[in-house]
Amino acid sequence: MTDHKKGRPLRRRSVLKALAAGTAALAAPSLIHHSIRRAHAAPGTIRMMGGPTVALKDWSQFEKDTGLKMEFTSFNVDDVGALYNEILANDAGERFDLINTLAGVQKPMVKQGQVAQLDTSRLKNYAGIADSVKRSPVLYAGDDKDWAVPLYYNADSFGYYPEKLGLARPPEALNWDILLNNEKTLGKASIDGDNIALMIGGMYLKDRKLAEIADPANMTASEVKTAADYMIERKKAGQFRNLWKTYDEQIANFVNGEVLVQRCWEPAVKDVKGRGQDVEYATCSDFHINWMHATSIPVQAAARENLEEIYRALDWFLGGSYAAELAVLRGYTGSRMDLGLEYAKAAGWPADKIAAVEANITKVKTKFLNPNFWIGGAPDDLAAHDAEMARFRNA
Amino acid sequence: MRKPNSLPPAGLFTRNGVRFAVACGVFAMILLYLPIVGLILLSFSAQPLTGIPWPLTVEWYTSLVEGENARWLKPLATSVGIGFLVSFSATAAALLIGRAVPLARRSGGLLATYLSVIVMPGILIGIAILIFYRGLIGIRTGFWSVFLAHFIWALPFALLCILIVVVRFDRRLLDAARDLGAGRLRRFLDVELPLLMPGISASLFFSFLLSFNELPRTLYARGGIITLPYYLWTASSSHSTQVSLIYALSAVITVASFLLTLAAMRLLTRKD
Amino acid sequence: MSAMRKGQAGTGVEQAAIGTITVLWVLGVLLPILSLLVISFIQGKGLGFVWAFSTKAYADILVDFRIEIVLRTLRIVAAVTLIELLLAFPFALWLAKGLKPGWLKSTLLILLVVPFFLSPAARTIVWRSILGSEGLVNIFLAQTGISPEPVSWLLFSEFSVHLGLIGPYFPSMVWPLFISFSLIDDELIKASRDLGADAFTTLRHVVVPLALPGIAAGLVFTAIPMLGDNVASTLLGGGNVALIAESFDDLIRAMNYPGAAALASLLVLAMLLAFLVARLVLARRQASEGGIFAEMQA
Repeated sequence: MTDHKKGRPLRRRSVLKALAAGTAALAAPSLIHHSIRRAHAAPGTIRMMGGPTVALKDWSQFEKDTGLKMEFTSFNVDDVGALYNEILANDAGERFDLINTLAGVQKPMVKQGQVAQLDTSRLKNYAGIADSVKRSPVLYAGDDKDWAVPLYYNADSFGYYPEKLGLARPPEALNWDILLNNEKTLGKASIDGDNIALMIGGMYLKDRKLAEIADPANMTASEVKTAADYMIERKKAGQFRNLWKTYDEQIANFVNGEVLVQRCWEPAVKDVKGRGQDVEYATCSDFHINWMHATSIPVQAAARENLEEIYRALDWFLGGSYAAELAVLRGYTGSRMDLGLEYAKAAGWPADKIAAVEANITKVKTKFLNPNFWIGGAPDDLAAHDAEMARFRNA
Repeated sequence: MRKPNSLPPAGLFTRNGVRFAVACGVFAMILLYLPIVGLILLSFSAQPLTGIPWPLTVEWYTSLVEGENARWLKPLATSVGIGFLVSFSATAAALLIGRAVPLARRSGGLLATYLSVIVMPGILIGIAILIFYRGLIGIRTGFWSVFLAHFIWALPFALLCILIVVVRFDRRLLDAARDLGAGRLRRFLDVELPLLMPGISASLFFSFLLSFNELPRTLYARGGIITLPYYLWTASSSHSTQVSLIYALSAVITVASFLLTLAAMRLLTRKD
Repeated sequence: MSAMRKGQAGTGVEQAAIGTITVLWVLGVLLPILSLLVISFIQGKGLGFVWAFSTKAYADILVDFRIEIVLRTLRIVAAVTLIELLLAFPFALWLAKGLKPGWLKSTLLILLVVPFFLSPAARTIVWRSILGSEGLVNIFLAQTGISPEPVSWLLFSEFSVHLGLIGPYFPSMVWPLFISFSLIDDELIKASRDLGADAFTTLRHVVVPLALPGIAAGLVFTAIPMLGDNVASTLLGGGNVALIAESFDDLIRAMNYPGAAALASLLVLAMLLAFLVARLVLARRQASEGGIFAEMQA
């Protein structure tokens, strides 16, 4: 073997090794291309991102009605900052055909050109939605254009143990003192670990006339400071056992006996009831937290070849089967409850399920008539809310 | 490394001294292993959230592959793919650098350059990647940035694995091989590689595991990529039915990682 | 190591490859980390930046509650690191100098390696089931009559965060100590004993000075990664124990990149300081002992 010959394979080996090691830098451009390619449509499949409560346990009805497959990715949409980050920094629109948010959150996204304008003529169920819902201030940006469809809405409160606390059951009304300001629940209460906790504080202060707050769901920097001060005072008094961040934590707090009363989502109470616990979701005399879930098409999806399929899927969410299913599963009010009731009757559902659907039609006329506060997801001064929330969590 | 001494030096430990030392270790090891054992036990519990292991059930394991629940398969594939890529590239780079370290003039500086990141808090690396590449340069984060974050995490460990065998390696063997007429390639393949193999294998295993189980760096550098640890982390904010995933799947991953680490350790500590 | 071998560090291609990787590493990895310091002094605008000097990021960070969070983090990390040192010192010394090589020693060492490669998130949540109001500890306390009422400070408290940190960071402290104890020549210990020193005197005048590099490394390897721990406070703090990691999360979600960079810079500075101190300690030792590799090859 000559020196010349043995030099060659060695060189090749070294070069290969260098290439492998340098993959980080060398492969970057092709990998970036790769991720952009992934952004293209997946015909026959709808990729949707949304709050965990949007999802049905089983999408077979969706698949049967639309002929499409549903690929649902859940995201804690209450955490507005995280959601914006996901859309702006992580380009969620490239990976999803539909993005569900708390209604109101989409408005700044519209301003930043992240949302595709809706062609509502392609949605046959859209026209029948009540104008009060369609033009609700949390949904409507006031520009005579439609950007998001309302999926469902609810009047939120808190879950509690009526027996253990010696309290009445709904529909008899309670008030928010039980959660925020009560000797019996001291150290046995839990509340949201996101901005909604501050908004609740603002609502409470406004309702009790303890502070001047114009809109607790959209406070100014000084208003949110007042609300945070109050919540910090309650936290320091030992009112809260913990702050939750996830749905599972809500469940665990009930199941593990950590709380007697907990600000939570209505589905969590349904879930825990199903595990044999005596929990109720409060009806309140002072106020409820009204919210709506909206779904929009990301601007990146507007140019996709499966846009027709996206509209078909979106229209399905406004149809009867979703409204009826969701009313039973979560206790939420769909934006076309009329279609929901029609569907449930036509499908021959048992009486108790039909009652659950009807209960949501009644709810619109009862709970929603309370002095209510609508939360629109993103307050204008999100930074102030985030900073005050960090202060509250630190306290 | 020094050969183990035949007998421990007498007198440093009294009987009570041993008891005290063992008690300290046992206490810390319980704090370390109790949650791991608990996780595995609770994955067989009918009500994992309550923390009571009975009644026992394998329901969660069977439901892992049913319908919607089987969606962890895609993140698993992503994690395995990135794991392999990180494992091979980190090991190749570590081999290249590690062999040069004992010969390099400034081995201290070279080592410090590569090993300093080992102590950086994980989220700091993730944040640095996000802010520098996404914020400052404007490149979208994604597959490549997850790979980079994991590579940064794995390379120092890979390098340590290689260094352990490299410093044990007697370079006179190479001289002898040359005197016997072996070429550079033959010397590498027939003499050096077999002796470095335990370190290389250990490095492959460890790099894979570090990447596979990585979370804090991935949280910020991930772009749209969903790795298995990230999927499990967010699954907890989803339906309660996902509880099965968190406990059962984590238990499976933990046991598998345990076995893989054992295998790698055996390779690395095998007597030469 | 002879000068001749230094010349043999590989072919030109190999040298070039090492050089390329090192340059890429410095530019692609170390530069982004150091650039945080620069970014912390400019202004953010959405995802991008405005290139103008600004101390707004530090004004965002250096507010009372964030300082409180930083101080709390430092306090908890210092306390847990100290606990680790107190637990790991006797244990590592026993492992290195009191336990004969055998299956027990190998098993213990393996048990100390494995956790490095396990995901901390899933297992940490198990503590909730142990420490909760109706968790195993409280069931035990109630049944034995020690405390009929559930003890609430066990969970969602600084106690649970401390407890959750001790386990995972124990191996980081044991390893450097174990290695440095193992490197101490038994003859030195024997000689000290032969000269009539008792165990404590030997420990103080022979073992501790010789193990100083290991102790310094152990403190660095344990404390610094712990500064960024986001698992224990998230899962066991329950919103009652805010640490730095949570602040990073807040700032990144709000896309306040300069703010996050400013906080990170403070952390990096703290780390550099720790390194310098550790280096000073090491330098004193290395002056008489030679490089670490000479030691390993001896």
